Amino acid sequence: MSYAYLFKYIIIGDTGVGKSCLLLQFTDKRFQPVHDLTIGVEFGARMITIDGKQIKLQIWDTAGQEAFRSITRSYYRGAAGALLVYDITRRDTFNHLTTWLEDARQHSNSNMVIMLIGNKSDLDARREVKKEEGEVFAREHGLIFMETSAKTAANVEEAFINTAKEIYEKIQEGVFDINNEANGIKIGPQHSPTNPQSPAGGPGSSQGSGCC
Amino acid sequence: MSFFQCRRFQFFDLERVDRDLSIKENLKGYEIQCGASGRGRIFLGDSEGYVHSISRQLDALTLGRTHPNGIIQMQQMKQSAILATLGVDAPDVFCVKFWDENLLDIEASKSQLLLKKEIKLSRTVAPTCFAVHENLQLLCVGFSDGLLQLYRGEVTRNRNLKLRTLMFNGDHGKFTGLFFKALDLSVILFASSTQSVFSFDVTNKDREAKIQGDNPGCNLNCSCYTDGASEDHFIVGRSDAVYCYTHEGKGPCYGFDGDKHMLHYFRGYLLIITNISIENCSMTVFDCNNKFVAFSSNISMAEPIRVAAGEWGCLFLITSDGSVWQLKEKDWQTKMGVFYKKNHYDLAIKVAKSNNIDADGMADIFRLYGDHLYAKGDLDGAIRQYCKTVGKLEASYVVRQYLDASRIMNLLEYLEVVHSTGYATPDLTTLLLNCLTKLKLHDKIEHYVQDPSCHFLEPETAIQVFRRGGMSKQAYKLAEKHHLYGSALQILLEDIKDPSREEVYNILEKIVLDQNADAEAILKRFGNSLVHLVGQVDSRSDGWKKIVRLLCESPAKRDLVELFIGRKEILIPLLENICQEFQTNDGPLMNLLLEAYLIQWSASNMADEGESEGDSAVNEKILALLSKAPNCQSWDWARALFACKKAGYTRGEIIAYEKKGLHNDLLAIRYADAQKTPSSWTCFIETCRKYARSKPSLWKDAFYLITLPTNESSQNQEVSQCPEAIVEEILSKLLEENLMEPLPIIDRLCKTRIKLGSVRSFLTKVLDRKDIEEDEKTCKKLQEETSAVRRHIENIRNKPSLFQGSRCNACQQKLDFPSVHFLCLHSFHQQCFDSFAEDERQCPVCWSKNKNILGPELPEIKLNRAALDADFKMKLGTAKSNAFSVLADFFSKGIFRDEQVRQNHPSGSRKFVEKLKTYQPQVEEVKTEGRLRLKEGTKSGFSKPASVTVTSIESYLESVKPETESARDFGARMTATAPALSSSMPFPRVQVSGSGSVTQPAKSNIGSLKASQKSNEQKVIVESTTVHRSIAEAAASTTTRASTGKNMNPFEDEEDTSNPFLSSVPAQKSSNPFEEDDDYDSSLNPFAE
Repeated sequence: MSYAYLFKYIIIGDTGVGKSCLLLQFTDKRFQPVHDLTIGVEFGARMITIDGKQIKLQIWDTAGQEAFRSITRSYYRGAAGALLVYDITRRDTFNHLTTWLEDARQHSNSNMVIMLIGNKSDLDARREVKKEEGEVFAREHGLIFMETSAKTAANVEEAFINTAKEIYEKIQEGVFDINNEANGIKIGPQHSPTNPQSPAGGPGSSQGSGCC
Repeated sequence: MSFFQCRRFQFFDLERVDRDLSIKENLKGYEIQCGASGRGRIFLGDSEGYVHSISRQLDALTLGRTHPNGIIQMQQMKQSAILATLGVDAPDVFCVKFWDENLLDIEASKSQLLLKKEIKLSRTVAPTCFAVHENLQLLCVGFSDGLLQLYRGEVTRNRNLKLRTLMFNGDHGKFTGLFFKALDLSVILFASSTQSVFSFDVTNKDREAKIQGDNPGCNLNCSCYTDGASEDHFIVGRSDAVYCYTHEGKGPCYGFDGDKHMLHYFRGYLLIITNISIENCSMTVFDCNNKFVAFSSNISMAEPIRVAAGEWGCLFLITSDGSVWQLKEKDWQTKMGVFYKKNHYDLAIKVAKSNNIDADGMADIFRLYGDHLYAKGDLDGAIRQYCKTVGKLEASYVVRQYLDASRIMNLLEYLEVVHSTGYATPDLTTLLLNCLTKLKLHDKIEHYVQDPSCHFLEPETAIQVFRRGGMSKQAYKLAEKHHLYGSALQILLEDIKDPSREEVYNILEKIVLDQNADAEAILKRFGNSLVHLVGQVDSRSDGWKKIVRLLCESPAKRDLVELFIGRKEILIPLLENICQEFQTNDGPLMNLLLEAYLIQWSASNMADEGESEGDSAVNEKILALLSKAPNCQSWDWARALFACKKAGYTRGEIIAYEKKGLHNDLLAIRYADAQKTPSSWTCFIETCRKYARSKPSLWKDAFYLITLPTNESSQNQEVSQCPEAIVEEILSKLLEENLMEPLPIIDRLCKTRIKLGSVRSFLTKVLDRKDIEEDEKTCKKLQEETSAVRRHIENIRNKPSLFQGSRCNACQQKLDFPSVHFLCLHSFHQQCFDSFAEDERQCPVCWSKNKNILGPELPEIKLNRAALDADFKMKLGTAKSNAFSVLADFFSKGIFRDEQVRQNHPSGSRKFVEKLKTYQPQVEEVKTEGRLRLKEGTKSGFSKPASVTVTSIESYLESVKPETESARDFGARMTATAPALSSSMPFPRVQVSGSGSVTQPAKSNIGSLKASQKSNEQKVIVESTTVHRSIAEAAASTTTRASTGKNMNPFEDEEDTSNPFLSSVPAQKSSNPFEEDDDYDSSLNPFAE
């Protein structure tokens, strides 16, 4: 399917906060109460429309476990947006946010849009992290904040779409270099203003890939 | 450690294939270097450059030496029978060769690969891997120093090849894997080196470009391509995990750590062989689609695995020394069994889906999953699974489980799914609606009721459920939605206490307009309720009119009529509608309409005495109907007449009488009318004139009418008398047409108030007539004859008779002794008489004449009365003009006589005499009446009434003959009019019987009595006297006299009873054929009681 832009997302956060469920809800619109642990990185895609433009979202759903941290790190680099997820019923997942954020900031490009998501808002009775706390954290770190529920699908669409909007705005502002695919943004085949082959190719590109 | 996080199963069996010996022998100690598979054959290349093949039967075959110094890599083209090899032909000489496989199968033993073309590489550096695009236009070779070359052109023909270097030496190390990927419009080359992963766009010549690069790379054999999977991935096995790349970039990754030895993709499974130690390796088969480990095992092998080939549904692993291992997948049932056993139903479902299991199989899994969840107590989860089985699994299976647990919400969920998928049965519908009602989910109910997308398969059931649950409104809406207007109407009428009229009208409208609806049946069924409802409605409302209009549009309107009898406000419009386009059998309906009109008419008449507007409107309607209705065959005039009569609707009566041909009744009405309003007399006479042309007897009727004596009650009222002109006309007509004899006319006129002046002209006419003289002559003649006979008798009695006959009347010979002499002056030989006579007391000559007169007493008639009856009926039926003569004839034969009387003559007659005595008072009365009338008669100047009487009989008979009516009808008419007129009739018997008319006037006039007597007596006893035939017959018809006259001497009788003819007055009561006539058809006159 043709698209104007392709945005790459990464979902990060502690294990069991509901990253895979968020993705499943967003891509398949269903909820799977029992979900296998993610081994490595899973992958999903969906088309959305922003400002009348078709945008393809490619989402990497990473494993939350510490063991896979090195693998997931390699995925930061090509992402334009990140969903940093914690579980509102488990305070420790909230406490680990700083670590995740540092990780993300360190390995991603600086312009990456990060959205903070407090998941499992349907389990309000078992809430351990107040919404205000999340808001405060987001404000302090310059993130967008939202509470979602992958089970009831509350705010799930919004979370992904708002992130996409943010990225789109940044593109419009010229913050993103859309020709650098390392930013996690790709212009669709028919929309590319210049030949996509021009930036790559030649020994220079091999040089570029070699570094970093 | 990440291995523990994946669910793992043992769906493969690893076994060593025993027939590998031949390969080992063929190898002759050289090592297997590489392999290729596809197209039903596994090729192996050894270090000496020989190619071996393994067939399906696992027979190994050496196909010849391809590269003298060893094969580095080989590739089997999938779309063409070409095997490509990369090998060393000589030290520092490297070639890519293409081999033709086509000839391989012809002679298996001598099979040799046929070289198609070889491309000699330009470099002396050792290549590590190569790839040929399936279109045989691209060839890519990676070198150990990190250089990547691309040949473009017809590589299998080594023609016009263009060489291009994609990558120069760098720090990415030697190339380990190369794969072409053909997209719709472009061709991508994936390449892996020891340090990096690249992808190139090689679609266009001279514009090849690197798309992406990633670090690190992988070892030789540790990259593969997932061809044919749902999403094509370039898979690279690194020590920490297995990474996937797509042409758009990085894809998912699977966390399998360890030093990768080999990666192979085969039928959705990824085989990962990890080196643990030098001799041990771990083997993992990963299901990429469903994310579980399908097989994992640690095995120790002396030699490293060099080739993995997926062929014939199995995965073959060949070690460098030629040992062959086989990974054989377990069958489907076993796998599923394992899933069920471990309760991995979700996985089972996933696997089943990716294996394209049919719906039945899926339903089975869902059911098992549901059962499992149910057993676990997860009822919500279970029902979700059960919901997926709808249509395959018997619904009762699920319903029963949830009924037991009384989990109504879950049940509801299931039932809703069942309904939305269209597998609902009536029972399930009932259950669903019961659930909804029980849970008071009115929103849902409303949804089901109103949402047009929600259709019940059997809405009738749903409606029934709602009705039973007292939710009439919902039921009604549902019925309306499903166009079940019959049910809707039923609900409205039966369930909803006070239904809005509008709704009823709407439904009715729909019923009538809907082609599918069985309007007839529905309306018949609910007609009564409808009528009841209708009864409460003001008949002037708009809705009312609407309902009527609807009914009129109904195709079944004819059948509806009966429902509305007694509801004239609806009946009349309905009938009017029907009658507008009536059919032949609509007569009864039109009658009904008439009756309804008449009821209306009389009601309005009663309400206001005067002629109101509505009244006249009704009047017009009735008249219109009457003019139109007779077009209909089954229209019943009698019924219409009855209705009109009952309602007192004279105009209708008149029309009915006219149509029915009952002109005399019509006349009677006209008369009654005329009596009230003098102006109507013209109508009266007009009617007479009009119909008397065809039926002159009408004048007679008219005469009787105008001469009706006014009875007590009417005397008090002002009654308009018949104008003189009319009286005159009637009388003159009577005379002209010879309808009546003047005597009875005058007799009747005497009783009325009609003035003499108006009769004057009539009287003069009568008196002027010449037939009086003729009558007198006849009379005289007859008197003379009678006296002659009398004298003759006297002579016979008192004077000696002289028998002078000299000849025998039988043989005409001269008379001899002994002889027999009769008083009739016939003489016979004794001999002749004995042989000739039938009765010794009878003269054989005269006997034949006497026999005619005495006919009725003949024995043969007595014998066969039944035959006589039949004969009578037959003759009467055929006789049209002379019906009365037939009647008289049979009368004379005694057909009307009492059987008993006829059988016992003497006693019968005696009885009869006694009877006479009992009737004496009446006779006396008649006598006095006769005397009175005699006075009147003399006053009026009748000198010879007897002769008048005789002619009156004649003329009466004459008048009867031309009547078109049959004798039977005639009789009917008599009885019909008789009661009406008799009470005030001065001499009723004149009308009733012909014989009566003879006797009574005779009595009334003593002067004429004897003459009359004589003439009658003559007929009894005297043969020779010739009398007018009709008179004779009329006389003979007097049964009583015939019987008395037979056995007794009539002349003695004369002495015994002062007047033998008196007897006839009572006698005719029993003998009058008309009074006891059963054949009278009362239908001809509906008012005959």
